[in-house]
Amino acid sequence: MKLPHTNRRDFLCGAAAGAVALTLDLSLLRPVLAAEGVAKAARSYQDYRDVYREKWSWDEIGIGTHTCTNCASGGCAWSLYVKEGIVWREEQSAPYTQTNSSVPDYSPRGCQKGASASALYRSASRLRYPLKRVGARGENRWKRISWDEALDEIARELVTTLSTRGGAGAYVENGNNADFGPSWIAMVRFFTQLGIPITENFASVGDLMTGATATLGNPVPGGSSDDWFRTDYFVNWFGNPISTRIPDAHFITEARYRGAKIVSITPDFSPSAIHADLWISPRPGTDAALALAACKVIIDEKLYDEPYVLEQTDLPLLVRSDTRQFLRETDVVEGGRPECFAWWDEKKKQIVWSASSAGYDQDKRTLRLQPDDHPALEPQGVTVTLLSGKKVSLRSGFSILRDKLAAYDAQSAAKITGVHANVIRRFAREFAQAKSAIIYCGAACPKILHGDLVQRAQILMAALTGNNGRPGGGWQEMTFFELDGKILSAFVENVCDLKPDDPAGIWAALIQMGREQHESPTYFSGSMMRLEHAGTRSERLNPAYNDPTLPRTPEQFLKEALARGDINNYPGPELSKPEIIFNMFGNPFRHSRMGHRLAETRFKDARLIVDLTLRMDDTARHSDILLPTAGPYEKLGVKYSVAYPPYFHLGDKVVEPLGESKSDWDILALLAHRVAEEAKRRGVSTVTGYRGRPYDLTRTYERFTDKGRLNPEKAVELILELSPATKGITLEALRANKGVARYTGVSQLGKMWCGTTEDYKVDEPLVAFMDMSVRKRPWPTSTGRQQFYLDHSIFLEVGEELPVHKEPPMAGGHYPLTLTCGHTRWSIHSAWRDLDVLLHLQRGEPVIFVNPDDARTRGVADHDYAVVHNDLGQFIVRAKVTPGIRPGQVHIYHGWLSTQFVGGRDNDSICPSPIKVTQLAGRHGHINNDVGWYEVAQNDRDTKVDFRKHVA
Amino acid sequence: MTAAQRMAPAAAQAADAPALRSLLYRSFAIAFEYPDREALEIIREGALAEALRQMLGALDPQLVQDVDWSALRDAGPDDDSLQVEFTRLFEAGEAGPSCPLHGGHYGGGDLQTLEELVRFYNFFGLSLAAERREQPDHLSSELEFLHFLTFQEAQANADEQRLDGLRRAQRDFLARHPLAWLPLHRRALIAAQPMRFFVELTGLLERFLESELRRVTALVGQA
Repeated sequence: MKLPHTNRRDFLCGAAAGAVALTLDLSLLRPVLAAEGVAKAARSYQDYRDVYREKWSWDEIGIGTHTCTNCASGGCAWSLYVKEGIVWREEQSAPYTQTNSSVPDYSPRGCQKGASASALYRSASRLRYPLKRVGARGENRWKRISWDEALDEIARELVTTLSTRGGAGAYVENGNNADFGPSWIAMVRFFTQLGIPITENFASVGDLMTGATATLGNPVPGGSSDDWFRTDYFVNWFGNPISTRIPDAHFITEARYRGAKIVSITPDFSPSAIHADLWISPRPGTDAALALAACKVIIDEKLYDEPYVLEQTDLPLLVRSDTRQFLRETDVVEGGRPECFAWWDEKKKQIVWSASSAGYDQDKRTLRLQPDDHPALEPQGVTVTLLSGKKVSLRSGFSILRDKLAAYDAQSAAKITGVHANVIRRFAREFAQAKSAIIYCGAACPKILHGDLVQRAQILMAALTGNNGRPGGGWQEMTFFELDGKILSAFVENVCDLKPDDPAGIWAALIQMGREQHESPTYFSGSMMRLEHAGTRSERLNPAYNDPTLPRTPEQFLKEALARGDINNYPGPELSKPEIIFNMFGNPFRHSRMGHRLAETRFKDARLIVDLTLRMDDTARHSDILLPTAGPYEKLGVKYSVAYPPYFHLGDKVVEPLGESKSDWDILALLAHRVAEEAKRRGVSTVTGYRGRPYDLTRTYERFTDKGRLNPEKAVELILELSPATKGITLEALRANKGVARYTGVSQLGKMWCGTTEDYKVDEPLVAFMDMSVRKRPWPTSTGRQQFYLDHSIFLEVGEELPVHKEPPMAGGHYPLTLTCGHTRWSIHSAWRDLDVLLHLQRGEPVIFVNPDDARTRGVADHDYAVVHNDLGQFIVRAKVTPGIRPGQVHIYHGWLSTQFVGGRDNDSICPSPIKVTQLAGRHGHINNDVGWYEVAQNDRDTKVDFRKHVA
Repeated sequence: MTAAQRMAPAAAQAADAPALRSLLYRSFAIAFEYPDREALEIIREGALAEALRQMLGALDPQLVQDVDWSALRDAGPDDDSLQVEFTRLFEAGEAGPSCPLHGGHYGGGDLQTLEELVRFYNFFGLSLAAERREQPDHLSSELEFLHFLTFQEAQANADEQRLDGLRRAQRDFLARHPLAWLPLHRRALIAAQPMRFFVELTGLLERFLESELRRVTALVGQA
């Protein structure tokens, strides 16, 4: 209730008494026309149609994209139509330059979420004012507070906690709705400089492909989506690109017009399967058996590319029969090189140390075989004398693999997978005989317990056929153009001192940053935090929910790994009792399996919980202070640099934030200032961060802003100037080209993240692993090759040194059905999930898809409510009965908010997310347990359930 | 002495009807904004209820019949109650606000609603205030516009052409905007089991708007 021109009491009292002179008193509207103009308009007004006579015009057509949104499509350029400070609608713009005439171009990009984003950002569910909790957490009783009140309270609490417990007294729940620009930089910069740790979320949501890390030394391999057009055989495995890669899916369709065959491998007849030439429907969780059976066909029928296998894979490398570990030079040579591996030369009849090995002389490392090299793929009768004098026999990885594959003949695999043996053979032959073949692995794969085994088996198919590192070929997920400037702006205090023309200085800063992060990491494992501190330990470590063939309990594996110090970034006891929790860019109550248990654990014990959020959601309801953040059109941002489109996307600020909301940068800058002032006021200076690093609290604002030099605009300029991927691109040029510019290169860091390629050219599709296949640069693995044999003790102990199939676990108890899940077409995770305009285009409420036979035997008809249940609990949803779902499968698309379910419990609440024990491995060559690289991930997609009709 | 007691007796004697209408729209716009501490005092003292009672009664005694005036003095047992209730109902309920004060929420097409509102505002020389950053379909925005139109009406003197235009605009705007969605809003409000203050206030506003629609329709005819 604000009355800017008059005291409200006087106004009301006076008005009642007839003692107020009538004045025009506007606060939400403002006059822009002189009195005579208004009078003239009034005289001309006949009926409402008159207001439509003036042609509608826009005040501005801005540029934007959906920066703080976890949309893996990697950016779409939109024109934003602005009037009266409101974005009314968006329209796809088409600024994408043609790659070359041999591939289709990217124009336009977008989907229905992007086209309705303005509706989301102005919807009634947006928070417009800072709110403070009044009732109990979760009770949903709030009142407004001013920004001053909110920031002062948070600053006071922060200084108290930091001065008593240091950074370990607080932590940040971090989601994936960050940008790759000022918003993310603000979060990292602010909390790193306070020594407060942040949860890593890639594995926590289950997206981390540890099988890819283990095999390829890269958790996110991939290329640009126009390379899909060049394939002859596109295998969509676990994915649903027609629904979830909407701006890029046309390349698949166009490849089909070109003559490519499209295969879709999903249990359900998904929207993508509908458009495939061949749909293969394995029983959920048996995909590794399918891939391994295909590998067996490829090997048995000699369809594999032997020279490629010898050069690019670890399959010729020798393995000791006694330890089942690789033969290392240290085994047989005094002072031998560690991590140096060998193959058997069939002509020289001797062991040759592979020049690809990580431990080989660094300046001589290469995959290239010399003319007189003749590695044997399956040497017979090879023995070696160890330093100890012991004689052991050796076998190649290929030889062991052949033995292992004996279990996966087509008939046996058919029994496991439910796929006919002829279909398996046909699939294997077609894949191997295609000139180029892609396996596009969807993000559902790592969300099953044995997803890593599936990835390893799939990559084996691609490697046997020589597809990895081939245009239009290879095992792909998604990759990124690494933006060095973004990382430097986030982590380097004096980033404004770095000069674009001083690459040595930039590199030194990156090295220094890496060293500091190694000593005092900002991020810790969100997945393990859930396990240790969020009330899920008993389920996640329950042996009954895990692999029944494990020789020990999961807890024993975990204890051993911790005792050995194998797991970096583990949230230890120092983080067990946080006093303050911040939440940014996500909704951990929803994106965590059993996330609702946070309410009774972390969120129950904390003294203060602050949520920087766009709207009220499950996590916000359990917080204390809500700080409303600006939407993507209301702040400057950078879309994260997924390489499907090899274009940098700028999201410009085209309107002011709604209500009193503020950008993440502005919020944290204001808070940094308050913290510094509060510290000065209380005489608190040096405090210690998480892991003990000292810092000066009174310099918080100075450090956050790099002495006042850093702001969102400057941060974007630094990203552009300091990143080799954006060399030559300016903010001005971006704005002139609708916010889009083609990446111009890849960074040194990008060699790891950007598909491990240096070969990116602006007029060619991006192809992963060309460095290895063409330049013969070793792979970033211990052997320097695509590594299928993993000789870490855990892998050996559980029988996973080579990819194998393991039966899906009974996660959740002994129930007959498997709960599968997929990304939805209708939202970006939980954002847009409750937007009316999109709900009207679908069922509009949570729904499971079930097979008619399963529904019939349970007395459930279409559109009935069903109770889906297991040991962990239940959720209630509508049932859609469809033959597109396999018998034994219950499918739900993700992202529904808990409040949309009858009873308020969502599907993730009953997913126990058992840990994969091999993901505890670490300190073993490239198997280094670290966040975002190789760590324990959450999973949900082989949860066991049953359902029954719900009676209200 | 409370604010209500300080008031002079009869509003109608001191103010002419066109001005009263404009003041009433302004008063309702104030009443539907977030109840900060001063607003709570105004409510508890009865100043709001009394102002509305006096002005509405002066316009038409029927408007103040069967009104639970005590509800309009009831800000709840403590300072938080009404604020919490306002937030729950209109801004941040469990699954979004229960019954937002934005007309576009109640059907008819969000964009079409917004466009027509802006067209109305622009036609009469108004724009959205940049500093408040509120939507054009917020109830207070719509009431401010009616405050503006009736202010113009009060100033128009004997300029019949201008008066007719302003009244036609009120007729059309009332029917097409606040009265098109306020009944739906009130139903949603009641379903949310709110504090009685908001039920009574909304009912009173609806009654006033309907009477205003009848008035201007009688003067300028049906659309």
